[in-house]
Amino acid sequence: MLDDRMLDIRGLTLDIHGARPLREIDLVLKKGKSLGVVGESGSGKSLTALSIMGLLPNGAVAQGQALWKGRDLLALTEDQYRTIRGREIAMIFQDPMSSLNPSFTVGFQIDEVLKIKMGIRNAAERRARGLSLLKEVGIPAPEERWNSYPHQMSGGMSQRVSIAMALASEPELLIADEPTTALDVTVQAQILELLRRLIHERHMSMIFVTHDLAVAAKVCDEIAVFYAGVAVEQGPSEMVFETPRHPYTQALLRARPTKIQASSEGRRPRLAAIPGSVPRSTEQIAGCVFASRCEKVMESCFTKRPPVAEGANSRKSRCLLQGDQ
Amino acid sequence: MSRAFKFGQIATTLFGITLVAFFLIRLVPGDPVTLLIGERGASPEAIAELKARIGLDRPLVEQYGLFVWNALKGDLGVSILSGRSVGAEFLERLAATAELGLTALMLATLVGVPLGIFAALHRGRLFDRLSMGLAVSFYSMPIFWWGLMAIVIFSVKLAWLPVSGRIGVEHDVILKSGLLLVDSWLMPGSLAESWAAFKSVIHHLLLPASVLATVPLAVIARMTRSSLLEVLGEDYVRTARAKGLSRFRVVALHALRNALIPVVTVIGLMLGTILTGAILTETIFSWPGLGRWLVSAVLSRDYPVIQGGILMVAVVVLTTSLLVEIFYYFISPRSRGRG
Ligand SMILES: Nc1ncnc2c1ncn2[C@@H]1O[C@H](COP(=O)(O)OP(=O)(O)O)[C@@H](O)[C@H]1O
Ligand SMILES: [Mg+2]
Repeated sequence: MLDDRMLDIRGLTLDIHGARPLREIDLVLKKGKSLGVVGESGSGKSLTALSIMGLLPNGAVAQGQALWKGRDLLALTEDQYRTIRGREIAMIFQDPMSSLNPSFTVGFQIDEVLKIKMGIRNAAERRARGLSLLKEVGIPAPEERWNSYPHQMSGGMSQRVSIAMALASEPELLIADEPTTALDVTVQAQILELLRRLIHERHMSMIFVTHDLAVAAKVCDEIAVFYAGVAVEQGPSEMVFETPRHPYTQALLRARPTKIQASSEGRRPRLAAIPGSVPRSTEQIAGCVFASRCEKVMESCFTKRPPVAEGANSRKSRCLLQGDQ
Repeated sequence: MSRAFKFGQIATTLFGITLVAFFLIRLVPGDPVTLLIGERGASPEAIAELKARIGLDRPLVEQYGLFVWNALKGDLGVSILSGRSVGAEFLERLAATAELGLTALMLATLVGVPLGIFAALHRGRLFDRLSMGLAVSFYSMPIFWWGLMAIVIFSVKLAWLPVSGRIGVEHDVILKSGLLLVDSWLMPGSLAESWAAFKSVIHHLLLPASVLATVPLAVIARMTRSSLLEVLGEDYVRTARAKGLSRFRVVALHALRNALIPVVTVIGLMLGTILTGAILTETIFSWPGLGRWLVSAVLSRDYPVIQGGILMVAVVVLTTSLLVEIFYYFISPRSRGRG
């Protein structure tokens, strides 16, 4: 079904100053669903998110397509982008404390979205709307917070404000790039719960970036697993979690901390058990990016780039083993 | 930093300056009395008598103590040369220097800030390299060189601008505020006469102010550029772009509001640089300000003018830097702390 594909990323490849941090990313987000993007640090999660937002760093050259409701985002001009960015697609970031402008009040930063992006002329109406947004994201005493500066708030509170600011433009898609990584454990759970509630109530789609497969599985309908700039596997959360297809996902799940260890959250998946290391983004790789560490590796893995193998239940993976099935 | 600490710091600085201003000039050979009447072949008795009258015969420590004690009471003594009160002369000269210095600082800001912004937005391109190269040359060339070049080109060759003085002799401006830009409008006579006087003041200001502006302009432009470049890489600028705001709004509001905070501080601190530069500029352009006053006082060893003048200049610099700090406190929400 083509219709329910809200965002369809095809072969997204990114080059920055001789490095290739994204290698033919394929990613599908269905309308009203949430997609978890999981991977180790440096695997290209943030750059993928920024590609969608059209906020790539200077000197980055993108190839491929990112079809947003049928329109290729990568081909948009800056002016065309502005009708989508912050309007149809909003984004929140990893470090909420540094993501808000220190020189402006919370109220000002929400108000400008309502004024400029939503075109609400009446200041009182904007204020009322802004305050109800703050309330919706669980901020106590919104009236007081309205005049606060970012440095007067905790990380959790700042992230709530960021979420309110993103919601102000009533986006269809919210991209959350590791929104809880910088927060205290107890606050993490609250923010996750808040996001889950919001996308449900507002019928939004979400791309949720995290390094924690278990969290992604809990929050999202689908999961995409990234390794070294490649989306090695995508599918419904519980299926990826229960019966991972790609050897990397399998290794990742095996390397997960046990339940007891997991209670001290915030651990990044580490593949200490697997010999070798993640290839650098500057390396030229002819075959599969995981080949050098894969326990099921075949000779052809070093020479042939695995195509996307589609299976039942819209599961996909990039592994030659799957292609042969 | 606590207020008491700040206060103590200022007091200590001023105390140090009284020491330096008092003793340094006395280490230089020659004394005012000999310079004043010695050459005319005055008798040793006459010289001794004059020295006694000004108090130069007393022990140095006593002289110093008297200077500090009187200064605390607000009395800086009288000029040996002119016999006028040092405080009064200072205020007169301060007005002339302020007019020159503030015009220079305004020029430096009005040109330097946009230059820095433009360079930052065109980082690495031709304009950026050219303007920043020019800034370095502004910074590293001595003011003297700029002053003489400016005089040669604009006064001598092109004859566009006057070489010296604050205003044409034909204008009867009466000193009220001491700032001729203001006083030219307060003088008796028609509006046309005032306008002519005002124009003459601007004409006289243009060259020395531009020369005096070179160093601050370079510093302000470079500071603006680097500060804006740094801020443009901040997370909150990315957030502003992610909100779908126009590039103009992102740069001119979200980035610049933060980038200009250190620039404002630097502009304030430039006041000290301006005063130093004024000493040279005023000498080149015969500008009757603090710089020239102090230079001629040094040449004639006019001790009260030197020690009192330097002390007052220090007071002005410290006061402005304090004002800058207070201003900084108001424009930077973060520095206001929690609550
Ligand atoms: N501005 C940039 N210039 C060059 N390389 C970059 C830049 N940003 C990220 N990278 C590189 O791209 C790779 C992926 O980065 P990123 O998408 O931030 O990873 P993740 O979010 O998964 O941790 C990393 O190797 C990183 O070093
Ligand atoms: Mg990241």
